[in-house]
Amino acid sequence: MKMRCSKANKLIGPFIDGELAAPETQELRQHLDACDGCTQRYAFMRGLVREVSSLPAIVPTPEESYRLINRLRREVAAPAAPKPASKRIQVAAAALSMLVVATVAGVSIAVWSSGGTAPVTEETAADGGEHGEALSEQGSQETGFVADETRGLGLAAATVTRPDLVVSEKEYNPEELEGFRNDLGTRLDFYSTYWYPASGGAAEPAVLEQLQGDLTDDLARQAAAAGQNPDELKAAVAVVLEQQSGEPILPCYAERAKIDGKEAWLVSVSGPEDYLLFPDRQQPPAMFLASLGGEEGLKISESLLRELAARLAPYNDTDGPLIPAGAIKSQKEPPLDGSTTSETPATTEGTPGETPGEAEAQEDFQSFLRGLAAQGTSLDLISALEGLNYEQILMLLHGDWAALAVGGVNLSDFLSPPPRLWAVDCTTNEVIWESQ
Amino acid sequence: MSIYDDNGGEHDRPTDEELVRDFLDGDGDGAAFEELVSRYESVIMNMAYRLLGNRSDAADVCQEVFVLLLRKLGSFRGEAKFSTWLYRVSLNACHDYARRLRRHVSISESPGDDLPDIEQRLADDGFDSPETSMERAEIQKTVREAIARLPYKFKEVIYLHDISGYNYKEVAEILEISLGTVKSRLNRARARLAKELEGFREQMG
Repeated sequence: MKMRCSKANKLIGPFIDGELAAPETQELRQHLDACDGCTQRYAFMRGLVREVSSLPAIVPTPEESYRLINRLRREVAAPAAPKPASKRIQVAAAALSMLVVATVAGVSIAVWSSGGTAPVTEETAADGGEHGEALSEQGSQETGFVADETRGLGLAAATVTRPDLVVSEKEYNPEELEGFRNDLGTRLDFYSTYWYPASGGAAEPAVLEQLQGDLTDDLARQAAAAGQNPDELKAAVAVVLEQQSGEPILPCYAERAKIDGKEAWLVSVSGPEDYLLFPDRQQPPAMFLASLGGEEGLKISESLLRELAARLAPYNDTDGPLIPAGAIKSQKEPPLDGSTTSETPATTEGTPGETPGEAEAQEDFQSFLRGLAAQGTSLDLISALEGLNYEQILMLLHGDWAALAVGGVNLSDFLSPPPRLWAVDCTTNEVIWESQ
Repeated sequence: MSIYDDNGGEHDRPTDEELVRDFLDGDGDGAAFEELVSRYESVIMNMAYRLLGNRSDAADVCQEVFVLLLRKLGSFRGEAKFSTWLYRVSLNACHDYARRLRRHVSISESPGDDLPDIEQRLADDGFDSPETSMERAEIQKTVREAIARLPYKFKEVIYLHDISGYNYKEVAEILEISLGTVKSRLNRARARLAKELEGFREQMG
């Protein structure tokens, strides 16, 4: 029996989708063989389905990912969280802190590769009103905080990233605070908005002061909306800013909590060195880094670097002084290497008459690294060291970050961001804890 | 590979359901929730983008969906696959959002204009001649716009079947509708798209 075109038309879709039963498939094939019109329709529909299915997917931008994480973090930290889920929520809070890093790792190339186009800032500016509205809505409905006057915030037009305020009332001990990551998402947000080179301007003294004031006011408004004393919070933020007076920092996060039984505000600030929070293989522009002169903490001790340089010196075939006396920039002692490495004096010249080959140098270097591993030095750090050449080790010694960045060295392997978290006693307004 | 394949073909990866169990038991290290978010952020963003036609809305809905996930995971009983359940929750969230905004039939004038450069450029990739590339970009733009103009119910089936790769039975399960309704909606949705793309019949045939 011959199939009609109207029926064939109905079967073309399931046929393309592989959802047509065998007898009907056979019937349709016979019809298509005999009907040019339906064959053309079939080809067109097949092309249409192909086009629809091959529409390119979108990839969440870093800012979208940060906002998602921040939103979830707020949800987790909200005081109104259902009690039966408390244990779960705490676990999730820890997970979300880690997730910021994981997510950023996945998408951060988009930030760094954007050159001077500042997509983050543009995007933020474009939907700023909407975002602010969404935040207000969240505040009143989901966290119990009353909506604040976002639109009254006197921030620059292009910047809408706001500080976060959480009333957790959680009891922290100092050990827990060392691993405090609740502020991480906000700091990443702040880096993208205020410090990323193309977003520019926050490091200018006048702008900085204005921003510090606006962000403090914003936090105070959020505190008031959350039933806290805004003046108390303002005083705590002022104490923290005073600790780092003159440094380019912005208050980005405040949490009402208890530290060793004392009522306190935890205040976290963001600074330009926060690029080190990005576990990223790409580098921000070297000139920008060079211009910062920030207070990064070197993860590796000066003594260790000296020893490394001394060991490699004989294999270096350049003529100049290897480690110029007095040229070594003073660095804080390391938190990470934990080594008891002897203070081997730096060698300033090669061994006369000896021109050992690369193989020997490599062997010596490897044996040095094995020694470090035996001392319990971070494997990540050892692996990063392995990737350096002699000149780059000297650059590390000299704190020549810009040159290292130009050479493609991932600075975050060697540097950690400076401490950015303080706990201020609500009653006495004294700093009772600060990150090391 | 269909996104229905939870394990991405890797045997040592925990399934979504195992991650949910770890999360609900609360004795895991919290990585379970982290993993669920990282597995589905992009999926939900894309779903919301196709259904709402606007990137900013898609990002907002994506947040709402994961907040819901955080709150409602306890109600996941495991009768359906986690991905099916999540799709259902997400589609409902998108629908609610569209209704709230009263925008679902009048989304942005040119959906896709707010896409990142990379997506805009995709049509230029490959080995096509410049003319062919431009033509393909034009077709893609028209397809995007035509989908955006579809009624929400049609968008859902197009998204689930043609874009996400679910089969009829799976679409029926997610949307909780009959197999016949899936077929009928898909046919009608495609007929509408075909009408809008009539001008490209020659290139697409």
